[in-house]
Amino acid sequence: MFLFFLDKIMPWAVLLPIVFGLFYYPRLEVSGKYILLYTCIGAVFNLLADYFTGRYGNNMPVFHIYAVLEFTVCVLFFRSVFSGSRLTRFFPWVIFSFVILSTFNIFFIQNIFSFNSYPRTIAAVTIIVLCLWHMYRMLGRKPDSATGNSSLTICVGLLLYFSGSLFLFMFGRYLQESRLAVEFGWSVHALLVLTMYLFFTVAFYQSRNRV
Amino acid sequence: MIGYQMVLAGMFFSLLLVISVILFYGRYKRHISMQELHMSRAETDHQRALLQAVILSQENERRRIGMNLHDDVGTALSILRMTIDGERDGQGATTGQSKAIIDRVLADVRNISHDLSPIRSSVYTFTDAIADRCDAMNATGQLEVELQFLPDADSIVLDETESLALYRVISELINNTVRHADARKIHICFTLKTDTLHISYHDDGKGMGIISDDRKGMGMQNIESRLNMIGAEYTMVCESGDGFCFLIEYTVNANTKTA
Repeated sequence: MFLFFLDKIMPWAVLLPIVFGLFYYPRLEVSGKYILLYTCIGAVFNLLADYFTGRYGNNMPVFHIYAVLEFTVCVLFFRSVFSGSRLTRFFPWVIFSFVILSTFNIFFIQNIFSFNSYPRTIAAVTIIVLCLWHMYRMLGRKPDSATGNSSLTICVGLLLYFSGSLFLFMFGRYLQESRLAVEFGWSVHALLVLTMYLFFTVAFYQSRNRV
Repeated sequence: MIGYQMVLAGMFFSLLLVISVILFYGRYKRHISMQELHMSRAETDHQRALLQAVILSQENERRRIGMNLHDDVGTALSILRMTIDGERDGQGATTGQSKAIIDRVLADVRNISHDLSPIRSSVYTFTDAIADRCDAMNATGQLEVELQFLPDADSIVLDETESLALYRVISELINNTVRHADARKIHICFTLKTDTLHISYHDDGKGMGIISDDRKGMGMQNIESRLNMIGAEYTMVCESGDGFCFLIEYTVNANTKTA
């Protein structure tokens, strides 16, 4: 029942942050707009993955492209959040390196029809570090009264999702031993995505008072 | 060999770890916010106490002036009137006596006016006012006040607000010494180093223990608010039995000049 719930509800859950994001779009900060874009990309690639599964029986090529886009948008989000910090000048190089690494992975390490565990693991670790860095920076600062802690709320959502999914990305292939484990593992992943979307929704709502 | 159980356990523990980190972070951030709130409240209370002290001291000053006018000038004028009446009736008092009473009234009015506005013109400066205050104390014979201006400090010209604030502070310190210290000697030294005026005030009285904000009397609060107003820093050395020492550092602004 629980797995069924996740399977049927999850694809629609993405609409929640998208609706809130579009509703408060004029009030969103640049960082919030990147997260709205990330959510839209997630929705589109979810549909594409379903289409590829139905048509070709393998949706892995979609996830190879999705991993690159996901990482790019997340790093752009952090570049916007850290605006003013000298380190942001390296962010375009981080994105560029990741694109090269993912391409190299497709051609030489994990082919496009298998799960891209290496790029996803690297992306997850990078995003976790960036989330923790942002939280550390925000520790002594007062929240902006107009936007509350919207960037911090987004960070918590990202941190929960990527840290919870890290082991799945790293060792997902070992779940193949048991069908139940596969279902359980990816259901937990779906639950984490749902949690992240809920945090994004709250973050978009927090931006409502921003002038 | 990694089994699926280990992967699931890894997912579970990493999630648990990150949830703990987030909860700890939230709690710590709330703790910091509460601390900031407490500090801000304490600062507001302190500012309110300073404002109250200023208002109270103003009221006391007005009361004192009122009493001076009533007791000295009022009484003298009443006596003068009776003297003139007596003179008219041919009952004794002379014009010479009337003149003496008028002179006393003039002196009283001059003292009150001097109290109200100690620094009266650009010719009569802050340093002159301080020197006069010290001379007045020395004249009482109760206390010896030694005033020292190290090179350049005596030629400093401050604007009216700064002069008045520093004059009132030193005046209040002298008052405190007279009232509470059982001192025999006060030493006040002015030093000008580059653009900073250093004033050291030292008496040989019984000193005082360390005083917290809430134990500060109205006089000390007055001193603090006047120094805050002109942006001067101060240090108070509170050692019981070793006299009282008060150091003021004031960065003179661009408008201030040396004569």
